[in-house]
Amino acid sequence: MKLTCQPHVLSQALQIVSRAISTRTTLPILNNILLETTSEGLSLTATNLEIGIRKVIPAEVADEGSTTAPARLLTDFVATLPEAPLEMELDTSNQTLSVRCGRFDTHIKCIEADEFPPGPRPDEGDRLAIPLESLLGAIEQTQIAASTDEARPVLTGELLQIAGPRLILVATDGHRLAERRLTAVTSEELEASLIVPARALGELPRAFRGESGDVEVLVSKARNQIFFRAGTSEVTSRLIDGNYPNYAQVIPSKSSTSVRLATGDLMQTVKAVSLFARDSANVIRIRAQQGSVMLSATTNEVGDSRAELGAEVDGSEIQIAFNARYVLDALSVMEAEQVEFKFDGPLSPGLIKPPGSDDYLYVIMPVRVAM
Amino acid sequence: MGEAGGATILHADLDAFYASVEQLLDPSLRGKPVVVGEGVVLAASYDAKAFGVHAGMPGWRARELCPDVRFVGGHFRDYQRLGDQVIGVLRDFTPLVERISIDEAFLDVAGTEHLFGSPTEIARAIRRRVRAEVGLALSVGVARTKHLAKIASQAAKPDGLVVVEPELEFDFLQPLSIDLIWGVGPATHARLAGAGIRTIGDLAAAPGPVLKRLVGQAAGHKLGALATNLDSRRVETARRAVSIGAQHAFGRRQATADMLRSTLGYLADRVAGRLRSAGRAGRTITVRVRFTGLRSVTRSVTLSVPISTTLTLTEIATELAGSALNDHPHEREITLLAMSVSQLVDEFPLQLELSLGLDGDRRRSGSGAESARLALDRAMDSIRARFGRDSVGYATVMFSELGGVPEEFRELAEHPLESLKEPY
Repeated sequence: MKLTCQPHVLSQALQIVSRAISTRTTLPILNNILLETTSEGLSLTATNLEIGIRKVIPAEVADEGSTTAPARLLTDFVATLPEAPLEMELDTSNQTLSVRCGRFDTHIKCIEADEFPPGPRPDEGDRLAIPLESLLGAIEQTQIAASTDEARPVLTGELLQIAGPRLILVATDGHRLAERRLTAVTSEELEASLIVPARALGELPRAFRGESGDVEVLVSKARNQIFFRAGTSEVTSRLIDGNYPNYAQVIPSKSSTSVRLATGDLMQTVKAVSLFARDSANVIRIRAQQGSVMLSATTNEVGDSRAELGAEVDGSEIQIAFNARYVLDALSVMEAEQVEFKFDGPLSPGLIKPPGSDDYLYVIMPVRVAM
Repeated sequence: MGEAGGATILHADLDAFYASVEQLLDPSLRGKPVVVGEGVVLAASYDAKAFGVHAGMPGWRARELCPDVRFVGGHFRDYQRLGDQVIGVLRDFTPLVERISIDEAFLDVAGTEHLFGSPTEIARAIRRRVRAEVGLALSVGVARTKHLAKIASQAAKPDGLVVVEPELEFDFLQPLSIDLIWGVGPATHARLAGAGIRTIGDLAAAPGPVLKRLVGQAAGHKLGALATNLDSRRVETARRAVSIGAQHAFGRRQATADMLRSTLGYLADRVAGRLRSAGRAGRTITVRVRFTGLRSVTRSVTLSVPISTTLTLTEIATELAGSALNDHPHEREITLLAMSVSQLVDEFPLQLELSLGLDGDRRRSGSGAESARLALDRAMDSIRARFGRDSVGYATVMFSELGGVPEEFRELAEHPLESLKEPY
């Protein structure tokens, strides 16, 4: 193997790919990155057997070949290199990789490529394509609600429901739920309900930075692997086994109070008032009455704060309390200038959404407080 | 605080409380041997005690000892009302009142001398007012420490006042029986008596290593301290329980699934009810199963979220008891079941949960199922508060036969257990 590439391009790619490396692996080979020459340049692959990330960077390949290099060392080293052509050459007799760049002449001990576990890359399966920007937007808007509690593994994933060209992405941690609807550009009339680890989806925005167009999605026939590709970047993941809860039943279908506010003002206000919501549930109280919304928070040893905001309020007056963090999470991914809240009593789920659209819904359970 | 180290702590204890209330309510009972209870003696008047009748004795035995004894039903609401009224009188003298059960409390009157006079004068005034306004006899002990004040009130009974001045503490304590020390039960008594330690004076004189050998290091140290009146506990007005529990003893009983569920349901009803009335919930549930021969096994579980509902506590406790029994397949008879909830937190605020229908959801306190259970429990709590404890309940608990002790009596009697700290 012998090739030449740009150090800063290689460095960026190494940093992205390294994110698939587990810090607690028991298999030493998984601490390495697989380097392979391809017709497009140099391919870099890392995996923890659950998630795999692969990127191909442009390179002039003189001799084909492959090896695996220690991820941490190679990544840290390349990050320090000057902007000069970087030449890599593998001595196959002792699996030593020479890296020459500017004034540096470096030799790194590697492990044979055939010890690297075959990537979970389904060759066949069901395919669809989703515009990159809308997929990344949908992930950003939903992953905030995914659970990190390993006691309920299904909720550490996001539901990807595919019905022909219509897609729904859902995440919930049991306290709030986010649902985003989007449309695929092409699909083979596929019907599937998949649970994709939220951590894998969270890698897509980083892995696909700089790419454009559509994301190609491939779902293995056995429905245990999913594969995303945009340009020359790929993310693969195992799917979570299990049944996603019947989430539709928790989306409120009626409301007694509906409130419309300016997203930016509300977010700034919630941020400020919630500094005084320091108890375990971060409680911020919302009181909606004709023409205005009052936000308040109190922590005994800290103090209290309240703020009033002009708002369009329809329906009955309400007092309700939420975990301020859950409200902020929703507001931070709201694209519209206005945001709509729908309430149906202080103990029933509230709904946050952009006005006039059902493409994005954020359901949030209140906190029961002594009012 | 007044003069440092003065005898300013009062222990006020109503005499033969339950029986005295019955005699107060029905003048025809005054001066006669009276027993509260039916199958079992729950409480006895001094007139009955004179015949050797005491609490816990079977009814037939009481009749044997004292053929004229009158058995009366418990007027539980009056016990609570009159007990509260007495505590009200105590609070007129100082806000530092620590109620430790329905009929006894500690007071610290340091600093109130300029208002009400010396501790002895205050004790006299309290006894006078309780007699005049409530109609009950109250014995009071006055001393420098809680432990000694309690011993003094026991020595004052019936209807008396004992003041132990600091310089006379040793003379006062020395001849008294070790039984009067908090934490000396029959087992400790037997062990100490076996070594010739019978009076508090003997205990105070016993070398540390001897006590350690007899009752263990920690207990030995504490007993020695109490015997020399070293007790730094202060009168605390708002002490919060760290755990809430209840237990039920059987003679011997075959452990069947039905029996476990109904007994634990009964205990859970009491424990969860007390949690809710204190506005609290707990994460750790502990169940103790005692087999014949006093061997016992404890199982506990800590949940991710605190609970306070009767049915959920019953379910978890039944699983724990089941696992304890499974691990001891040769033990088929049990003599006691006990349950406690610890890691207590205030119930509010509570993050509610979406009703996703996942396994284990119903045990999360914010879940719909758990909220529904809580609403049901709260509704029963308010009915019981108004119409009495037996007015409503879970069928499995209400129709089970658990001893002859009325619910209300247990209710009154369990409170001190929960609020008392370690005996020494």
